[in-house]
Amino acid sequence: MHGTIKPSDDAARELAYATPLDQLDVGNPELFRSYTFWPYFERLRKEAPVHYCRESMFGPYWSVTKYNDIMEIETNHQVFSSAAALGGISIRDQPLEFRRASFIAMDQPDHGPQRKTVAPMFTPTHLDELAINIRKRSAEVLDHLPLNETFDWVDKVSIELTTQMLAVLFDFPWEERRKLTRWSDVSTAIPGGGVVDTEEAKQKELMECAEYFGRMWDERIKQPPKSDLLSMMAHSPATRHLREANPMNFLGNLTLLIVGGNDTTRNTLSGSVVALNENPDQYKKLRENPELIESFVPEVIRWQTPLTHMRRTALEDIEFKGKKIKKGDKVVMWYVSGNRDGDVIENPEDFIIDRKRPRTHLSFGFGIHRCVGLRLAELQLKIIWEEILKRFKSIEIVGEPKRPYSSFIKGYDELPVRITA
Amino acid sequence: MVAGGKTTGELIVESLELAAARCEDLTPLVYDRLFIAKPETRALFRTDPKNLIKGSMLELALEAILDFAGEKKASHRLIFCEVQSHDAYGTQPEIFTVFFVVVRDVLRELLGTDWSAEIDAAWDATLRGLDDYVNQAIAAMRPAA
Repeated sequence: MHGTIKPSDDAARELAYATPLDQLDVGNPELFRSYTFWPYFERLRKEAPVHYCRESMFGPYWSVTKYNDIMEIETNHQVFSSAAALGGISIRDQPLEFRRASFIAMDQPDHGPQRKTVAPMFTPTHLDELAINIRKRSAEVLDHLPLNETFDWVDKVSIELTTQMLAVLFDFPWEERRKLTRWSDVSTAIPGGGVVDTEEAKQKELMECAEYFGRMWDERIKQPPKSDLLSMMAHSPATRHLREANPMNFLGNLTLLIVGGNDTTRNTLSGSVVALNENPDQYKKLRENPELIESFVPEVIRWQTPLTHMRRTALEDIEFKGKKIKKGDKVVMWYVSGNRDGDVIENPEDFIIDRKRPRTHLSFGFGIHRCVGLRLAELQLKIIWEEILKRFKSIEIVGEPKRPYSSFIKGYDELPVRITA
Repeated sequence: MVAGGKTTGELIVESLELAAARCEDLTPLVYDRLFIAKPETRALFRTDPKNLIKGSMLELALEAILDFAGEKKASHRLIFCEVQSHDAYGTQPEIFTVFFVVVRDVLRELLGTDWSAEIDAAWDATLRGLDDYVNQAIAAMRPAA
């Protein structure tokens, strides 16, 4: 099974169940890098669906692992805050001096107007226009892939196509588009985990990102409004002041859009190849009936869950499912676990491309912070797979996938594949 | 509320169960009616040939209806979030009220003579309550100057 460890894996399960419950630390990035996290979540869902971890590399935190409990937290933004100043949206607290608000790491009333600034990019009409561009670029990339030799799907396809998309969305200089990939990787990296060595190095690169976009912003603001994300923000009353008045919020929104448009679709695109290789019957079904792409896409988004979690901070003491969560506590909603909750999703461990209710998943979050670009993510995956199925009979995984050291990004650094002509 | 010995929640569930016995999937009926009531909404779903998006939205709406008619634990926040997140895309919040009415009308048509006065009253009360929630969400987004 290409190096994956499924929940049935005996060694991983034995360790997960042998660890005292109060010592379980599902946020440990090593569990995700080694792909051994599944039985830990399985156990939490069964034995402690709202669980407190007292000690971890990220400090103490609550884990919420059941689908409906996550929905309850997601929709209760009066009590559970996303504010960057309180720690933001991931299990890892940013150092105080580097906490940057963005419209995902922000509460109402500021959140709504900032989010609304970029939403026109994702309306059905604009998506229709983007679809033409996506299909053309997908075809170009796929037509240049090597046949009958091993190559890295992550680099040549997943990163390339999602980075191209981002460059289009920002109207970013085409030849320098891989800067976007780098900034995305850096912004979610744990220093020392392989992407950047130190927090200082990480912040230095992010400041370079801010300066680069700052120069683009200065140009766009002098031009008439256009339909790229940067122009939208530069001209919107809700965000046009940010570059000068709140540069941290300016950079926060940029990194949010870069990560949101890059890591998630990139890793789901890689994950789709893994899922189909692990489930050849489903691959056969898809090849025989390409119309199933409509339900295959949401199913693979559930199956992959490219962001493992979102975090909130309690604004007041609250009793939740019998547990006393205190004001200031970190609460982690594990989407990756909720998406395997058998109380809500039938046969959740199985990858079924013609599920009856494939859109029942938490991968885009829920509530006021639900992914603003979710329709674009779905559209990209749909078009890319339509184009893949037109061209290739099979994309075969021929080596071990390499996974990132992260309990936030669930993805792939490398995925060796071979396409047979 | 209790009508004819049954609670509002029981009557709402009863109407949905009777409808389910007559129609395996309400999705096409609900959206056909919505597109007649609000033709501009049809374009929003043009990339949904298999009704997957429509189905999941209807599912959420039914969840809100059932919760409101029952425990009232989640519907307020659910509607608040959905109204606010859809507003960013330019969806008029008033559509939510229309959508709930459309669901009621589809059920009423399906049930025919089984649509009793008690069920009708239960739906009236539920729709009024849901409409209040929608209006509260609108007011929170657009506070009076």
